[in-house]
Amino acid sequence: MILSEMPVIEVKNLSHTYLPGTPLEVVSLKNVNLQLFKNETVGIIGPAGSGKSTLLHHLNGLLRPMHGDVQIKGISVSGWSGDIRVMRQKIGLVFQNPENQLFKQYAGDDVAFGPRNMNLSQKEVRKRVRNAMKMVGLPFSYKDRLTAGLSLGEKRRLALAGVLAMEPQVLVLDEPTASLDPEGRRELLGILSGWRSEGEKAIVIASHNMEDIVDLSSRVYVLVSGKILLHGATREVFSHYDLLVQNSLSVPAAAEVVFKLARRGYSVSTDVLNIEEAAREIKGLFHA
Amino acid sequence: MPAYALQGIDLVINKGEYVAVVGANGSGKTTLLRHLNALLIPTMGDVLISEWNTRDSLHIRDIRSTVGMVFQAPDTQIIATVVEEDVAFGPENLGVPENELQDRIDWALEAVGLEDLRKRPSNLLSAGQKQLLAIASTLSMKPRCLVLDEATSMLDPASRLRFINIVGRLHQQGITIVTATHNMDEAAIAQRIIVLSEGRISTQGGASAVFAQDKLLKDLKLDLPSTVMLANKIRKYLNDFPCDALTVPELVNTVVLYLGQKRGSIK
Amino acid sequence: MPEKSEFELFVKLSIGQYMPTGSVIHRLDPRVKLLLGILLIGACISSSSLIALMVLFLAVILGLLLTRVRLRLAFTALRHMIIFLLVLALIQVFAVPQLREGAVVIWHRSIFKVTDRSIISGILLVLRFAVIVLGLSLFSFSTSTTELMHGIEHLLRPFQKIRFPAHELALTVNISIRFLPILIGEAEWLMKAQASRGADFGRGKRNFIRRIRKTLPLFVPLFIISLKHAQNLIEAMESRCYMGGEGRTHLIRLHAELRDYFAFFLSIAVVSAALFLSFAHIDKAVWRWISAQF
Repeated sequence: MILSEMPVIEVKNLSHTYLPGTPLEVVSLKNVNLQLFKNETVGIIGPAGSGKSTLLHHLNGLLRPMHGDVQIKGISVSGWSGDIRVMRQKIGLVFQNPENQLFKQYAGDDVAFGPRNMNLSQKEVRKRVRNAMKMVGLPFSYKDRLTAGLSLGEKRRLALAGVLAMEPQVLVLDEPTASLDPEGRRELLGILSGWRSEGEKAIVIASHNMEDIVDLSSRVYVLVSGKILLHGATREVFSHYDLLVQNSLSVPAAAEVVFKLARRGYSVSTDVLNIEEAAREIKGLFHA
Repeated sequence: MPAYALQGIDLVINKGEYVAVVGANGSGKTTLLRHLNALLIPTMGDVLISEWNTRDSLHIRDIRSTVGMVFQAPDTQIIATVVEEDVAFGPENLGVPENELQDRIDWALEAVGLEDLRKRPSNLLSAGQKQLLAIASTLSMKPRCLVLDEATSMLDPASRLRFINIVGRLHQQGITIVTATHNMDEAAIAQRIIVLSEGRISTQGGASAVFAQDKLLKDLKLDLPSTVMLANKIRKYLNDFPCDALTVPELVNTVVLYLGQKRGSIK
Repeated sequence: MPEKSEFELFVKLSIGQYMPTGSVIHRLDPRVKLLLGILLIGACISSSSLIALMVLFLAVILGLLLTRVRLRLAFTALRHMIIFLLVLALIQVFAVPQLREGAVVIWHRSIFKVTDRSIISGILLVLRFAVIVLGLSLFSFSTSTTELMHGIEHLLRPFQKIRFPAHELALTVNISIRFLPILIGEAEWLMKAQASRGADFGRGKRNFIRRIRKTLPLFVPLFIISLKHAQNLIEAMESRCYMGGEGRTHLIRLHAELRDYFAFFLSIAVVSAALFLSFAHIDKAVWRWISAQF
């Protein structure tokens, strides 16, 4: 992983209060610091209500920082004088269950919505739609299919294509594999890896699914009650099993088996993230 | 696209069983479950709940109070604005006498651990609590069977665990459970697993037996539970490692026992 | 949809916010509050006397004070309507001259005439609105939607004997109100999602048709979502054996207490006094008395 000097996105001491000044006031983010560099995938994990979505909405300028700052390529969001939509084109935010935002009758038109809003030429729009659909594995002929007739997995990919068609440099995803069946999940993760491998792109992914995070991210931030509890390399973060469990989080199931064995006194290394590594460690027990 | 959402399903679910129905999206899980409480009537064939046929409109109430259903989306299965009133909705519809209502509500709320929230506005519950409320609101009708249609798929892991534990407890108290899920770790705790594919039953049987058919599951694009995958991986190194552990604690125990065996035999 | 939907839109609605303070008004039977609400609106509309409306106004303020909710919150709703009210009032003053019964023309230019009557009309209009809006706030601060539903249902229950769908109606109202914040949250989610794709929701573009088209990314999905919600609700209700209001038993039964009767009759007295003042042309009498002093 090559870290360029300036982060693509930098969040500095960000705080956010929800419904300030009313009896329902709640602090949703407190002094959050986060960095995203080119060519990396960063994961954000946290229990329900920890503020993950609020944090993500700051990354493309949907929410302006109440306290602290968010900088995109060194330019502060607070002082953004131009059309904010430029930022939203560079940072593509994919919401949870994004298939709920589809509204055009024909699938292709929905993918074209983003590029059309960018006032691109007809030819360019068509090209982008074609590329985006290809990236998500939907045949271009699907453009004439009725949106309502697509399956959940297809709709999810269509919604993703709609964001990819804007050719963002950063993808921010909120629970991308929620409600998908195992096949759908595998496809989606494959699409994300494939996208990131081309060019200087970066991904931020917030998820409950620890296997997703482990599969994709090189660094992880743990958000609990609006504060960053822990952050670092994926391996490093997931080695804090007790801390994670205390905060209603977990580690991938295979790693959990190894942790529990270590707890019972067996000499296994807890530096384990997936099934391969867990199997190796357990095998190692038998060669003593 | 198949002509029928379901085809040639022959299925018996016995009293007190814990059955999981798994399959890819579009395999017919939801359609199948909707037949169990007469929300859907078969195009061909019959569905019998206890002694009643779901086509018999005279007994719809009996059927639906015997087989309770909990759905996937937390918000849209809550009817009332206050927790205890939602739990009361079912029995009120059945005409349960008013002096009995309160007892039923108390019992149902305690069974799911929400007794302290009885007067809470239902909108203010977390998603996990809402799903538990959905169970309580079904329990208050005193069903013999609980059908869960992907009831945990919108929950975060902590809430999901709590939900599954409560369902397990209800099963131990004698309620038949039928749950549709595509979370294999969840399916692993069922006594019997039914695998659906394109509207047909591909295979069924005890959890271990079903998960042993890894080629079939792979063809159907389904996963194995992480514990089974790990055990299979270990087996590659240690040929006789048992592959029947289904949950994390079980696998840990298997390793410990196996290690004990091996060490014992070295002596 | 995110678990914690953001009600940033919701803050602007100051009517319809239930503020539980446990005051005496909160503890009144919702049927009483409903009936009095209707009575208040009726009295407002039928009063054409400034003094009568002042009486009603003071009564509502007193009620609001009794709820122990900050008075300022009740006036917030009014504040949001102030432009609308002023426009209406100005129309009343300038364009509806009320030329009967010896009205004195105060100002005249082309088709616009201002008479003393039209000024009074304008003031009456503003007052009526204020009383009704404050009355609504009084009601919604002190009555949860649950109580509202029980109130409606209990009041309409006698009509169930003649096949009037009281429970169905009450349930419809209840579910609609319950889903309002949910839908608002989803609308907000949609605005954010579509904004992230570069949508702009018709910022001041002159073309009306174009502006409508710009709201489609919001309304089409919202509509689809609402239909899905409806379908899910139907399945849930059927699964719990809902077959209409007939034959149902009820967990909640409302019981009127002494304070409810007291509040009811007191309010009737006040409203009657106001109506009496109005019909007895008290305004004229007071005006005559004041003019006689100078």
